[in-house]
Amino acid sequence: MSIFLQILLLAACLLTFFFLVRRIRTAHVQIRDAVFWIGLSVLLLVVSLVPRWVERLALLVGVVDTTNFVFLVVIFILLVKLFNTSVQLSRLDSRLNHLAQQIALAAMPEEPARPESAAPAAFPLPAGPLQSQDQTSPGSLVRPADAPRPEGTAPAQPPQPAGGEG
Amino acid sequence: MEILAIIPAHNEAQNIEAVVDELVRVAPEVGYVVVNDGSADDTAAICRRRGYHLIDLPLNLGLAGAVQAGLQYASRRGYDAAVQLDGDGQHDPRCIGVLSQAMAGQGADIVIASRFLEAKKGRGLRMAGSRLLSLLIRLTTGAKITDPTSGMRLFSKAMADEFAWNINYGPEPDTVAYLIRSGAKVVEAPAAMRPRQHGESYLNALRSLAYMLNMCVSIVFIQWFRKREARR
Repeated sequence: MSIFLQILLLAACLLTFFFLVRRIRTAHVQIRDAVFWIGLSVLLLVVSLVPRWVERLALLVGVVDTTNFVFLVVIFILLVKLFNTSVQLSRLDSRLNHLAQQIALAAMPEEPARPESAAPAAFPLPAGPLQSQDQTSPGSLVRPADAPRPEGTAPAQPPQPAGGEG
Repeated sequence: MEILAIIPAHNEAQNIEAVVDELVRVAPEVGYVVVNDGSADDTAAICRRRGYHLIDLPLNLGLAGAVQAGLQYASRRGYDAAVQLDGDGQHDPRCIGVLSQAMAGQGADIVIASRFLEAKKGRGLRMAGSRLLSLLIRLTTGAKITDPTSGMRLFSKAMADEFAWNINYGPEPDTVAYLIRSGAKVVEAPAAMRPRQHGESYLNALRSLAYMLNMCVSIVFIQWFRKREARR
């Protein structure tokens, strides 16, 4: 592995780390999403500082050029990350749908009850607790009436979601 | 049978009054609700002024989301069946009776208003698309659906409940194919449709192409992997 690639990886690692810390400080990233990027920057750090390990690993797998091996691994990691992001986006989208529908239905004026309308009870929500997702906007649309806002200090440290999801 | 007509409307200020007024005039026994899908024009204001039943979505969710909101309303208020009636005036509310008779007579879960039971399919690209979807549904489910892209469909109570609360239940041919394969009874009843009254269709050439691609991939590949579980 060339010294140039080492320096490049080191720079990438430091930049990732720098931007990440800044985002966390300004409360733009949830901690559990940040963990991935911390892990990635640590990985890059290790690769750039001790390329010997990576070379050995590359030979073990049968990749002659360590550089190729590094690229391959990084691409795999990013693919997995992209897939997860896509899944999350899908779920977010369907939740947004439900939310908009519930808001619109709730805003309808009451009509004279239809005869024998055996109305099913409350609205079921889409899977998972709705309020867990919304962390960036303090004025979350759906918040249980009795759930206390984080005291004055506002949205810097949102409560961690309870559900085991993601 | 108490039926709810769901009228999805996105920027239909020019059409919506005519559509609702016609429905109330020719089929007064049918309930209705307009779903304003985040229109940028006066659609919602017109509905309020005229005192129409209105679900006013705060965002533009697209047709599937709008129809779903209507089905949630139907489900919540306990209607026996719900029919989609487009806000552009191309669906004739006089057909609702035929659809509900077909549903009651044949015990169907979904009745599709088909333009092609009594008339032949024409030529042209759009009809080619329709043919292709019919063929794919035939091949994957064995059912003969002459008008898969017809937006006018009558859903039974059970179907409305299922559509209302699940994801991936867009009112589109792929959902129909999936439901047929998982045991739902889907039939067709003859209907005539009109060209949209005012304004432009959402489907331009590029969107139509994307739509066809979506539907084909969905019907041929994706629908095999779905697991049907009723939420309620």
